Amino acid sequence: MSSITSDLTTRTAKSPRERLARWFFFACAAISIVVTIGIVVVLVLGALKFFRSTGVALGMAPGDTVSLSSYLLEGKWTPGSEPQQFGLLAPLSATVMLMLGSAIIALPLGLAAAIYLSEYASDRMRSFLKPALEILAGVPTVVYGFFALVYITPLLDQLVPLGVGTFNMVSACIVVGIMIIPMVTSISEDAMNAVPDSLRQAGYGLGATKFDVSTTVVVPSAISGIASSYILALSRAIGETMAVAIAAGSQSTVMNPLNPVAYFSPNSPITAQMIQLATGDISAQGAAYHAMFALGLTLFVVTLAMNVVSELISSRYREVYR
Amino acid sequence: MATDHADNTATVSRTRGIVFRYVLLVATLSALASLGLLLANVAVDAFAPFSADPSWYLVYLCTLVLPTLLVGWVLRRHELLVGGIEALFVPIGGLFGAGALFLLFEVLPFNVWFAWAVGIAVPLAIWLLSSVAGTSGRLRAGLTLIFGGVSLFGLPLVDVSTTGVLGPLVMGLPAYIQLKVYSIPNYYLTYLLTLALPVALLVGHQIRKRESFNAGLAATGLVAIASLSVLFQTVVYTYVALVLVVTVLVPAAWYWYTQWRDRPDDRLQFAFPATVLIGAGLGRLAIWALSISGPNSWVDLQFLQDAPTRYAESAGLNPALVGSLLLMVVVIATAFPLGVGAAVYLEEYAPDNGFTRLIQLNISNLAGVPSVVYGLLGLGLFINLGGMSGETISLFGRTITLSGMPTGSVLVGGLAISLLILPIVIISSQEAIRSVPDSLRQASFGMGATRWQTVKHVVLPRSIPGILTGTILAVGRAVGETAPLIMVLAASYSSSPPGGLLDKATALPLQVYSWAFEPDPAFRHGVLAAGVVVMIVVLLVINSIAIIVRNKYEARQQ
Repeated sequence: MSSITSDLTTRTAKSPRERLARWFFFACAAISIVVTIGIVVVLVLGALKFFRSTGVALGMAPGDTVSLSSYLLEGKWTPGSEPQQFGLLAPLSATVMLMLGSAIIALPLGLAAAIYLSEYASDRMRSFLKPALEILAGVPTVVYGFFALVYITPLLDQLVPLGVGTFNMVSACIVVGIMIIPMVTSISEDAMNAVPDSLRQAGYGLGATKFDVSTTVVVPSAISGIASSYILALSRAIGETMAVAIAAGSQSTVMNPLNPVAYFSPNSPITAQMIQLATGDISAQGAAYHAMFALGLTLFVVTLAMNVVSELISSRYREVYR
Repeated sequence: MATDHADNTATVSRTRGIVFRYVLLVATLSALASLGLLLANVAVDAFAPFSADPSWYLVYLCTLVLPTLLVGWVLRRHELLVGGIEALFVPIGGLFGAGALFLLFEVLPFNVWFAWAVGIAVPLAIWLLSSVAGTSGRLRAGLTLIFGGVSLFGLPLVDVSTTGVLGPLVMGLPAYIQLKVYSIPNYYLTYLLTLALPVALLVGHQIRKRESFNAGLAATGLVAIASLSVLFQTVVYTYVALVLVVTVLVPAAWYWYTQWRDRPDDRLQFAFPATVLIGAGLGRLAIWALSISGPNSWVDLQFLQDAPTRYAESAGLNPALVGSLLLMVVVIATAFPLGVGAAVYLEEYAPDNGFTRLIQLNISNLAGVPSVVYGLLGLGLFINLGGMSGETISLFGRTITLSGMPTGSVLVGGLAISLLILPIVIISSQEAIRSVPDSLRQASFGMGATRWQTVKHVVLPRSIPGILTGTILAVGRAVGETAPLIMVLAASYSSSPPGGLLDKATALPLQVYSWAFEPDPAFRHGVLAAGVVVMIVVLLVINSIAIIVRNKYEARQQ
């Protein structure tokens, strides 16, 4: 009897146990903020050290530093050989190529899959295709790199009249494109499923066929979701590391992303250059080491901006149906 | 005229619609088909199926494939195929468990294992004794904590030089046994005492609860006899056979026995595992008797047991397997409690204010940060302490040299990956917690329960299947992550398995990455493909665990 009353009076909202639980859970949630701050601090500190690094090895006058303008505006990236040069434009052009190349594969295929799943597929087909498509995103990226290097590149070498090198952009673009298809499909399909059936019925009532309804009613109504899925998928492509580090070579040069022939040669994007710097023979204090953080900061800012834009599009321009 | 016109549009639009539909279908399937083709290529390279004697296939076709198909077809008509496949998967799953255990034994040598097992046995015994004696929960927990602490870590304040009878008390049992006791049992006896004995007692206890005391005694005796009988075989080491008995034979016998007893109408399903196992055995026997050569597969036991070498024939990925296992341990130990805690806060405690929205927004953005950036975070935070490593600070009059965690250690790699999957764990746990109906919470509050009691007794038990499924899937992703590991390990991965959390790490994806640049075609098309196959198998195992957990709990909750 006494134990029941004591239990009732001690286990209240203000008891130490309750407060401890509350603070523990709060601390867990606050970790995520700490992680974000940690990422920003580590990247900014490292990048600052990069822009302060000096040295004869850089091929500059003593006392000179890597300037922000030379990092952003120059196009020679040679961290491993003398004179060391750090021009972002070279790896950036490779990143843009990767983005465009994988977009050509993933955006149409992903959208087509989304339309098929949302408008055409039977329930049974859907229950098979949806998890199957998710597998594409579940395969480790290093395995995709292996696919590109060992199977896709030799195949391309036979197909392309001029031949491609052992390392090339096109194989990397193909595997990254395959990898991001599920992202486009799942978000676009959610957006299409959110389009109310009454709109479709109205279309059919006007005599439209299923093709007309899909292309002129459903897709335009879901366009904000589709756009946001595109941007998210492309930001994933930019951040993709291992596949390009294996398949796209180790050198970065400025190339025109709109020139199709350029894709047959190797060009290493920002992420792959970071891997290159980490695995290369560099001292822990040199400019090359800190260049890793400058590249990381660039990547972080770009992907964050794309994610935020994608979120804004999906929330601001979403048609609200009720 | 009018009908003519209408007909025209109808045919045109129908063709267009049909073409559109099939274009969409082809687009959907093309990516899947290309992945399937690539995986088929990998399988051909890794298993080299064309190097086998055609009669090898003929033998297995006759003994294994055809009987399995036939029995499977019959069972399918009786709707027993699923049960049959499940019954087959229990021993196969046990085989994977045995593999994981052997990898663990490489990290924990059997003397260390024995020492810690003795140390843990003491608080366990006290817990059991006091629960048999019927003490209150608080006293039981206190006793276990005190005795467990002393038994594991010793008494902190006494001078360590004290030896003799007090030695174990001062140093703690594990340290004392490792340092002072020279006559510890051998492999077989160690695992007999620490694995087989507890399993035998546990099985006996469970059977006793369900059936009778004598049945429980018989079950314990059967397990004990099976564990002892491995002494009378010379095919494999006795301790290997013992572990196989504990992980494969006992669970399979347990599952088969319960199924056999509980579902008398479905006993036909055992035809399936019986066909497969007997067929495989017969086929093996026939091949041995006729001395037919099988495929010269790259994936074999030697590949799993050896260290990587410069020669393709003798290369293996054992250190990478051990490293991946340890990384998984670190990731689960950190990401699971933190992720679930954060999800509980956001769903159950958090007020609807700006700060909560900030955390929520922040988590969804963290999920989009490229993995290579998490590598930099690990490098800068855990190893360089944000640039402070190596610097000295004075604190309360003492100077301390700051130093980060060792470069390339399992701990740093695991922590970096665990931060990477933390947002995924949080988001999936939040979804699981959100799916708990509010009426349950209201009922709990209505009975006077506090928030923590509601979380502990209502929300978490109800949402644990979803939380576990999400966490296991995230761990699956962690196994394949490479970029953060490369950043923190700085290409310094070693070719021997790590012996502890602070040792230099290596991992499956790192091994695949380093093999990718070997120019030798034997590496490219053999060893590398075999490594990829092993990695994909590990991922499949992890994902099937997630699916099994979900199905099991869902069936129970309904």
